[in-house]
Amino acid sequence: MAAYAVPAALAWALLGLLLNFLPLSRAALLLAVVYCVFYGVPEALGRAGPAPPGSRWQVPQRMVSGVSPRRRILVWGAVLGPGFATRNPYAGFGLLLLMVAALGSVTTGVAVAAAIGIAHGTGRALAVVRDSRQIGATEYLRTLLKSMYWRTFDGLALLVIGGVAASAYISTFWHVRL
Amino acid sequence: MTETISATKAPVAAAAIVTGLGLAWAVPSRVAALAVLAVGLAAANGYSKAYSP
Repeated sequence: MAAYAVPAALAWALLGLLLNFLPLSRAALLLAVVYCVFYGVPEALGRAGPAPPGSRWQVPQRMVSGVSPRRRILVWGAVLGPGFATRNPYAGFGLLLLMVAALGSVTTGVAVAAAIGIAHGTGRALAVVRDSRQIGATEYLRTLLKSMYWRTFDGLALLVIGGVAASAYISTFWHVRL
Repeated sequence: MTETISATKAPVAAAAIVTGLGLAWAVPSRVAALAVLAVGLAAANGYSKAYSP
């Protein structure tokens, strides 16, 4: 679990630092609203939509073959834990970057980004444990159904967050509590 | 079939947006709300990915 969560926390904390050095908060909030609608509506409605932003890069075989199990876990953890260098089937991951940039404070940005890294890395490690058993034909269909369920969940989460981000964006003009 | 699915899901999607807007006005800090939602979304995103080595 730590092999996934620790590199993820470090990578995200660094990102939180970089993204909050510049005054990007208001622009990030607006972009988050647009992003949530653009990706959240098709996901929530179960319709075909734009492919979520992400990478198709995969860990080269030479990095994990012929090495000790301990080192293999460390490589997988460092790559999959933070979530940047792997395929992201749902759009929610891309929104996390905008949400970190929207925080508007270096201290808060680093703390929340580190928490995001720990949450993602731990979730990813639990998913690896969950899926590491043998997958049969029935299990494959169940996985397919689950991916549809998760896509809808991700879309609804994007819409909820989009609503919060829209309120936060509007409130920046009224100088009310943010 | 697709149209029917979308028709039943549309009210749920609208409710999600209203929930987000309502949540933003109900909590003392919108930034804190965004932070909590971001951490929750990150955990769900990590767990929802299939095993892919």
